[in-house]
Amino acid sequence: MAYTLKINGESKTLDVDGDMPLLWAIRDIVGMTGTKFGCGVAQCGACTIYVDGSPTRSCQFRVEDADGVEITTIEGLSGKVASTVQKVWTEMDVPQCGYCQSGQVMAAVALLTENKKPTDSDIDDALAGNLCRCATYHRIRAGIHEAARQLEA
Amino acid sequence: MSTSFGAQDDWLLAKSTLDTYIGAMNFSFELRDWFALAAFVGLIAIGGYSISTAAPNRVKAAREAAALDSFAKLVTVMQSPRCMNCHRSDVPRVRDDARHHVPRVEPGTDGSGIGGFRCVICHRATNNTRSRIPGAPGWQQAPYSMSWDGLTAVDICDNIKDRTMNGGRDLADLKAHFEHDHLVRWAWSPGPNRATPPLAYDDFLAHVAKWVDAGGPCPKITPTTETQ
Repeated sequence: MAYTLKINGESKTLDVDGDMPLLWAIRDIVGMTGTKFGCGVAQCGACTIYVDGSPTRSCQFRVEDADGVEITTIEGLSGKVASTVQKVWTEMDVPQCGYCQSGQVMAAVALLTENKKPTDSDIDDALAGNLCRCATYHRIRAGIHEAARQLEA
Repeated sequence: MSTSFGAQDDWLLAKSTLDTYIGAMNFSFELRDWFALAAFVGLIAIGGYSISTAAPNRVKAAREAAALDSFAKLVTVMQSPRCMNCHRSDVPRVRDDARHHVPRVEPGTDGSGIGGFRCVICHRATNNTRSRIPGAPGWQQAPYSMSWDGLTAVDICDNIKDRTMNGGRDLADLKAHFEHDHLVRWAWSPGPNRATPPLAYDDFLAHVAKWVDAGGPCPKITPTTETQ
């Protein structure tokens, strides 16, 4: 069945099973591979996208439920908070292997959008669902603090 | 002498007989007799009133006893993992053994998560048949004021009726919550590997109605009712 999805502001018509996880559709059908498959059961956060501006695990979101919603992937992330986080991530060399980082960045931007000056505890709580197999958590936390500082300046 | 009497004769005979009896009783009313008569009439009145109120009181008592019995059954549902895992004072639990939620989640002030890390990130409007992540519209933890962990049945009853703690709900609102809330209804369709509450949903609603209709009485001591 054909579904028209709005991804990063563009309409994409996909002829897929409505029960297909959105992650599959984004990566394998649309061809946007910035969003990663990690676990497939919402345990790792690598597949984080935004649905109507709210972080969502795309491995848990069905294509048929995506009708009429605004989908944002790491490729379409924009705005001052997003650009600051991406800049800081590069400057501070936050990623190691980088596999989880699109999910980490999506989560970090969502946190800083809601909480301008998060504490260590706020960061730990908000990113508890984003796993990093390289254990770069200390750099992720430092990166978020630095991004908050630059956004406040 | 005539052997047949007319109506006039009947009356005269009856009157004569009555006069004879009253005369034999030597009936003369003094002040004490008036008091005695008043007391007698009073007793009759009190007795009549007691008879007229005793029956409704017995009905009311029976109704309350039935309602308390219903609440004892309702509380077995409320204390089941499907309700208790989220009516908690700390963080949500999962499965029938109330293990911690993974990943670690904080319910936040509104029970739906914090800082971009909200329940709806993973919990959608329906159960996910692939990952088995449960879902229902409005997925969230119950507000902290509605925490039941560590509470007895008596405490739970007081809690769910306390409008300062229960979201301003009166008994009719509570009934509607049990009947219509998506998260309550989800408890009876939780997906595989999750036990449903110990009462069938229709039985649960029947006991809710019985309890609410009787004014929602709370037990004085924690009832002991076998789980059905």
